[in-house]
Amino acid sequence: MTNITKRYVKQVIDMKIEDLGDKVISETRRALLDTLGCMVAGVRSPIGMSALQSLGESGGAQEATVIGDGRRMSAPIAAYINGQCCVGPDLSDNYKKESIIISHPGEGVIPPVLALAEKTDATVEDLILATVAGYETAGRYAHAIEPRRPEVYSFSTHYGVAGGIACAKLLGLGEDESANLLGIAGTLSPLPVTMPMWGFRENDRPASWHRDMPGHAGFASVTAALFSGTDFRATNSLLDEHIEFYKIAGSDNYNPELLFEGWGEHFVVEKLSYKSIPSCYFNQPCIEAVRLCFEENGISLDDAEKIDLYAPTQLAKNFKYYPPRTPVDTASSVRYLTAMYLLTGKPGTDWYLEYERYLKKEEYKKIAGMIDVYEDEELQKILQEEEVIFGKAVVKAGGKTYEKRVDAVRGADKNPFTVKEIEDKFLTLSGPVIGEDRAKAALRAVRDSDLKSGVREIVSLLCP
Amino acid sequence: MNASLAQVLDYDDTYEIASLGVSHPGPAVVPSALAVCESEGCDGKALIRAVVLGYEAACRTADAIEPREYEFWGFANTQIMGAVTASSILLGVDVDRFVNAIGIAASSSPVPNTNMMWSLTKRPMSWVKDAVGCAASSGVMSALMASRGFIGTRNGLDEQDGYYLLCGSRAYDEKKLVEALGKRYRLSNLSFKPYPTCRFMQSTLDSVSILMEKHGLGEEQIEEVVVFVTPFLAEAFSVYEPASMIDAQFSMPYAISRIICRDDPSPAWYGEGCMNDPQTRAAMKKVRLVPDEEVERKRAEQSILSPKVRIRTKNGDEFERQEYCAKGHPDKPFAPEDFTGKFTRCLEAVEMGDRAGRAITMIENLEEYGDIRELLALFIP
Repeated sequence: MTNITKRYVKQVIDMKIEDLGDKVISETRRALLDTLGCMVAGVRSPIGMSALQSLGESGGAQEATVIGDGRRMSAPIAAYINGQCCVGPDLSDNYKKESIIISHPGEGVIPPVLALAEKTDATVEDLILATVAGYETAGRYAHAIEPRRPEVYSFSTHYGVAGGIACAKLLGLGEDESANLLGIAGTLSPLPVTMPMWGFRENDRPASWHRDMPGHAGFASVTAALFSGTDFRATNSLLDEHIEFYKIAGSDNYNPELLFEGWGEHFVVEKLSYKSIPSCYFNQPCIEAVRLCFEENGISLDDAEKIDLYAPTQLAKNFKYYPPRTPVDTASSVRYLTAMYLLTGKPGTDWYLEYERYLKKEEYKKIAGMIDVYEDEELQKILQEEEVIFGKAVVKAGGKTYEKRVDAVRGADKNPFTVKEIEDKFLTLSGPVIGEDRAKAALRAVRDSDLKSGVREIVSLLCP
Repeated sequence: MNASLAQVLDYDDTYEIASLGVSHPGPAVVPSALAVCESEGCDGKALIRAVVLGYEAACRTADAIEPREYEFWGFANTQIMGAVTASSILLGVDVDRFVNAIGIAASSSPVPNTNMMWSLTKRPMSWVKDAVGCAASSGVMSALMASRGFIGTRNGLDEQDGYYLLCGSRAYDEKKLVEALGKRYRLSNLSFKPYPTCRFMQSTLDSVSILMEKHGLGEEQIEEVVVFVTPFLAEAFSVYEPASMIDAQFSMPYAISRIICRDDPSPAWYGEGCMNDPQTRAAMKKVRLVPDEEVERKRAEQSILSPKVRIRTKNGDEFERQEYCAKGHPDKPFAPEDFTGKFTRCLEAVEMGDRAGRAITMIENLEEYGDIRELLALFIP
């Protein structure tokens, strides 16, 4: 084993629960809560439902649970379905470099780790340590390979790496075994996807539902973990520069020192951004600008005459698409999302599940009719030079014009959710699927459970 | 699972440009087609159609994305296109859903490997090879998801979507996906392996085998076997202590030792008795690989992998041979008995040799079977 991979797995292996401290443990529980909420709600999303319809009857050993559904499957298949469900609502957590999302660690790490934890009857402590290791790897590896080539646009490749490390930590593997597992996981990971493959351009709509394909990455991570219990061998140097894995993760740059810098001093789970609006994060500054413009200026919907949204050129080009043609399209139509925000005042899964009904409502149509979206060169320049995404709203109401420009939306690391907001999000997402009482019990279990208690107890609460 | 098993012996078919392998379609296409056939209760004709079209998709994708960057290895990106095509055809999806299935497959394909990830030059080798198990399962999943309404990109193989960039292609020619479609089938242009080893060795093994036969040589008469090969393969294949059967499949001395010990090619090459046999170890020491710039030039410029073999006997005779391609290549095709013999030896390796005759008869008359499950039942111990 050569230097980088060996050093990296060693620091992961050496990480103990005492090294995390109460704050990091609490932040990890919140990250788990946020992703589990997405997973539960995702069972009813079109993306999650298609995974369940395709694989839900495939049988196999009953090792792990489809969260929010209750069926038990082999661990790799459960990780696959849970991963796809996670991404369904487009409410996954974010890890950013300035405004630029470089990973959604939760959807890549938690589905494989949870499936393996259930299979192996792991403790909450095991789960937390594995989750922290996975998040560190997702965030740090994403940083180490940025900037990637301009055509590359998704995170599935590094999800496989992060999920692999998390599984190795959960199983308590040694250096050689961890490095081997990492090699298998990397080799089985899905490739990164190009920007055009997302289908955001007007002529390519409706958008593809694949998003970051966390299901495939989770499947690869758990499969790698199972293989690691055999003689199966892969490269034991995946993270080393000469292996050139970073190239197939879409990068021509690799700074492996970022895998080590400040290890144990600050953690990725402390710097997460959470979403309240079921949409691509890049839309959210515009919606937040509208919200604040209305709130700060006491504008009522009845007074509003015109709402103009301005976004960096490259984002506005893709996201001014309207009207959405599928539930998944709603997440990348800023006009639809803004109108829904003004109409309902509260983001929810109905935004995509019932979009056809909303599109027909007169009240909705009146609001959407006021909204236009524009490409803004100045905001584009800021994005290119400072990697900060601003959204701007110009609202005409009662004969006056109001303007608001926003970058850090509610839930972002610079404008963080309160603990109550994170918990409310979980209850809102999971309550309709598993029932309010179970949702509350699950919340308490994730938030308060003893470190030595079993993960299976939590999982049992996350099903109807 | 079946796809991984189909590749584990390194005995699988190869699609070559000139004599350089660019895909192994069989281990992805056939297991995917069989799995969907079994679950859907399809007949033999449907299986044949799906397999033909699956091979077509995998091979044409390889045609379109080659040449790739030198450091990119592994064929999962072409194999998945074969798997998703065969599966979609068997599921009977309409054109829109088929297009979606291809898009989903493009978005969920396993990564291509770099040649360093194979660890050919830093043993022990990775056992992952092409990650064909993931390519096949993702291909089937893509077809299933599309059949249930999941939307993928509808331009998965169009130049604008850039899938070829992710595959490491240096030049993409999307015309090759469709030109003369239905007129000339890639399935008729496959190479089949006579030896259970990396395809890059096979013409060398043919040369050794032909020289042994022609001059009536036995292992005891041979002083040295020198193979003039590309510099990379000289380094990668000079393995004298293979740690596993995977290492042995990519060890030129090991494979040549089997030939000069007159051991007929079969899965038994990798049995413990054979791997640890003192005669094998002694024979391996007689093999030497020499980097050769002329062989490298042909590979780089003409995609021809044609190492030269020189056998020197203990009494000082020297014999040379340089095969352009191995037996099983479209220019030197297998005879029907080569296929049935190879098939029978594979079944014998798992104590199912007595079923080979019946299975061969069924496969030769596949189009007459109404339910493929009857054939599959033969392969259960």
